[in-house]
Amino acid sequence: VKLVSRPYLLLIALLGVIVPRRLRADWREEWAAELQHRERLLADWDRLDRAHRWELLRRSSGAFCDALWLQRQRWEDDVVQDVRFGVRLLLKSPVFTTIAIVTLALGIGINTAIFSVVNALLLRPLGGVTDPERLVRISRQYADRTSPSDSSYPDYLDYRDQTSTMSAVAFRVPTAFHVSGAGHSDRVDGELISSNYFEALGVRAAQGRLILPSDDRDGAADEVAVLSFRLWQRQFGAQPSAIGATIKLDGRSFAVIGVADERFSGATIGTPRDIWIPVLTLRRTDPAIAVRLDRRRASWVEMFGRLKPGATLEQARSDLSAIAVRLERAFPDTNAHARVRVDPGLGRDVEVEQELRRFAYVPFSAASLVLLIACANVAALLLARAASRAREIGMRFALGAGRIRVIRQLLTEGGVLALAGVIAGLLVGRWLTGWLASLLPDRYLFLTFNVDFGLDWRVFAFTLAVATATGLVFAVVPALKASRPDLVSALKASASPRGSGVGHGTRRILVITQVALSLVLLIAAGLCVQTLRNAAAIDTGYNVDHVLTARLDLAKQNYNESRGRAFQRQLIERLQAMPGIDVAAFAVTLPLNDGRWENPVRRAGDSTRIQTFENIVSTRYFDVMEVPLVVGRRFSDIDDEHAPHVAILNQTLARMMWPNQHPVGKSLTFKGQPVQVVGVVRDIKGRNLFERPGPMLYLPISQYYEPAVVIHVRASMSTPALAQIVQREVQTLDRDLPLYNIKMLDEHLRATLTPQRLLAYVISAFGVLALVLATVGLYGLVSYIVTEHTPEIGIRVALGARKAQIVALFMSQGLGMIFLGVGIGLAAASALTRLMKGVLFGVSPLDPFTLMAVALLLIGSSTLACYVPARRAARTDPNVALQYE
Amino acid sequence: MGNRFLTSASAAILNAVANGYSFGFDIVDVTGMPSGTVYPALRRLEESRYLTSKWEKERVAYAEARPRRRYYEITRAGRDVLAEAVKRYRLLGTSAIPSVRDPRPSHT
Repeated sequence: VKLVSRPYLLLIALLGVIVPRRLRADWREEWAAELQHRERLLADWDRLDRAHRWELLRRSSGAFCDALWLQRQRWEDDVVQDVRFGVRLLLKSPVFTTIAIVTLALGIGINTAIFSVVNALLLRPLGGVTDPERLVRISRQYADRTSPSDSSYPDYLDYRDQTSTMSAVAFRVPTAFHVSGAGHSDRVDGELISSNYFEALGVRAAQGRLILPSDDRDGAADEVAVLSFRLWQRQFGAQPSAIGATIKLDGRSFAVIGVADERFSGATIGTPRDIWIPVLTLRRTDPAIAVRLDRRRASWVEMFGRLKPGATLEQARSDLSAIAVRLERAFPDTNAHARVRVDPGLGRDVEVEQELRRFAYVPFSAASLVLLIACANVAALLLARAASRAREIGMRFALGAGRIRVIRQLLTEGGVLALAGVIAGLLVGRWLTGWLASLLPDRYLFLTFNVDFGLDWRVFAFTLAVATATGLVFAVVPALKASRPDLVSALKASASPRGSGVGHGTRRILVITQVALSLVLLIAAGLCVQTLRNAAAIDTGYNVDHVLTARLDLAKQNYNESRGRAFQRQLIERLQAMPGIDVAAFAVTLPLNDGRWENPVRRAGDSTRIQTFENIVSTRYFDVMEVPLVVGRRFSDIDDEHAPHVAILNQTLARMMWPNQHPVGKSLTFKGQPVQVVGVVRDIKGRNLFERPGPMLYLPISQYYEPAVVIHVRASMSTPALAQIVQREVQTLDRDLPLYNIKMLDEHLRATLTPQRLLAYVISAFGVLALVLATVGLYGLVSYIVTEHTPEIGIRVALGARKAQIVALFMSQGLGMIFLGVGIGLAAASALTRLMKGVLFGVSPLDPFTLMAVALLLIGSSTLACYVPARRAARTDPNVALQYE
Repeated sequence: MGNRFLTSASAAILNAVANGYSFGFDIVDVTGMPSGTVYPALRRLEESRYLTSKWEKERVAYAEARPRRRYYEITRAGRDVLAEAVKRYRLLGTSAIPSVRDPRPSHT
């Protein structure tokens, strides 16, 4: 009644139909209020003249605009509805959903983790600096060398003052400090820096201030230090009072003036530095080293610079090259052939980078294969599901659902699935990243793995896109098929027992692909495991078991030579006297995972120089290492500083120096001094386990004093107990002397096998995973075929087929796919594993044992995956099966 | 939500709400804009969280024998964005919108 008497109410009642249902009541009420108000303002409807009535109706057209505006919300409502429906459907088939989500999560997680770790090591820019991509390394490049060299301080000043393309040129000298605290010292990595270092990097201070050019005065600098955030927390409990406090570095006092930004830990990625002091303080604290500041020949400062805004790398190269040429002309004795080299990417170690790149592509490729397998698996699952949903979709079309609407519904389902997979993938990725990081040793080559292994978001975005695309594409395939529907057959539940499945052929292809890909991965894994086993079995030439090693540096503790010698002698005597310790010795370098000392030697009276590695050792070094003497004698106490200088060669050096001659008693020249050869020891593996031993010269520490040494102790007791004894004995002699890098010798060996071990673990894990995925995929497909053929089985059984026949029927389907997959996999593997040659050791990429073993493993497990559903088929009760018809 | 730009119409409507004109036709009347503009603008402002709305109690509307009203209220974010808009549309600040003492006047 009211509606009729008030035509505008009728109008909004009608218009309201297009308003999304959720908002409709509110909308109508609001507009009713609006229009009634208008009416009241004008008068009563009955008493209105025509113009006013028209006006009121026109006003209700505003309601139409409003209703149109709300259309957008209808779309959103549909999405909500789709999502709700999608989630409900997924929950209704938990097995499918779980498998799909877990598969996606593994694919996404593994890729994210692998790329995150490798990117953290290779691609991550320096933390805590401004615009790291504008920072460049500047080094000397001599024409006759392949690797770049450090620069000199006078050269630095020239580059700094003459450059037109760099807004700053600065440098650093990595160095370690002994930081003395209450009753003990710590060894802390730091950098001596140019006073514009922090400005050039664009680092901010967390507390106090950083070192500034104004800290340089008259060519010297005050004894000031900047701490890292970490050290500030550790040493000063993050107290602001640390600013202005004194810190003792190598026995000298420095005033703490500031704390660097929390994210900043020096200009080397992976090796955090905790203390910075201006290099010019050396003039006051260490005049012996300070003389380097004036020498153009010295090569010790690592220069870097920041490109001016707008300046390109190329411009910087030609600008700095011009300066190098000027220097070459002005200082021909020191700067001849010294070009300048400008590289982007400050903070990365070239050598480590090369080594990582050599290995990184294997896990990358493996992770991509896992992602492919995962996608194939999900696609197969979605297709299987689509087949079982053909009827439902047909029903929807029959009931008048639009094609777009149904496709959207299916896309939403795929999206929901992908989203769940992504969330789970993030968790997996995070966990895996932690696992990978835990496999890394704390040091490999010159890199300490102190890197923040955060998830890499770019990679995550990429895998997300791939996984989502898979989800969406294969979710929508059934919709496309069903949208050209043969409604009648789709609605007849089991109209055709064969081939009604959507994408049946595609599923077979997907399963075969999975089998093939997982075979490739498993073969790669087998090869990596073999490599690790072979590498671990390499004879190093010495006995790595039960030897504890630890470093100490007497120079940092202000020992002079005579005090240092006394300390070293006493320490060895004390350690040797300890019950349980067999033998103790010093050396300046460890055989593996350490820096190398290299120098030329000559035969006496011969000018041919032979480049050799060297190690300076104490008398019982060869006993500790159990390196057998081939001929002559070992070092002994008679080889003291006053005795004639002596040396021991390894077999390789002996052969190089005196081929086919007896070397003992011969004389050689080392650093301009005559040295007599007293013995030859067996070759041992030096820095690289995989290469033949190089020439090695051993010199006695009694004649070639070195303050920084590695203690080697052989003892048959537990590592912690031994470490404690060594530490205690050192502290008895000097309670302030820090002992660092305390590690068993076999840990060093293990660290050098890091790439091999990582590959073996990671690729094996991927291989097993791929195997599981492929098996599940196969199982799913055969189960599906069995379900589809239930009536047929029923008839066969009813007609007297034996169980074995039924099993064979379905097994033949599965085995066909398996053998095809294995065949393709073997072909692919023989092509792909050849690319792994560079990372394999002692095993051929086509190792027949690995190929056979892996193929058998795969055939075995996948046969089982077929057998289980086939067996179920054989147990089909014909009565039940035929009731479906 | 993040979009801090208001059209002059939206700004005028927000300004009206800020000044105590708190439901549909009240705002239409005071701004002089057509209802087809005002209502979608109100929804947009609400969606951007510059406004919130609340339906009045059934009881109140029944007592006054009229349809229920939907009362709009400006939020803190709304005030911020309005202050910015006032700077841009300088007329807005000076234009005489009579401030309403009682934010919910009863129309009889």
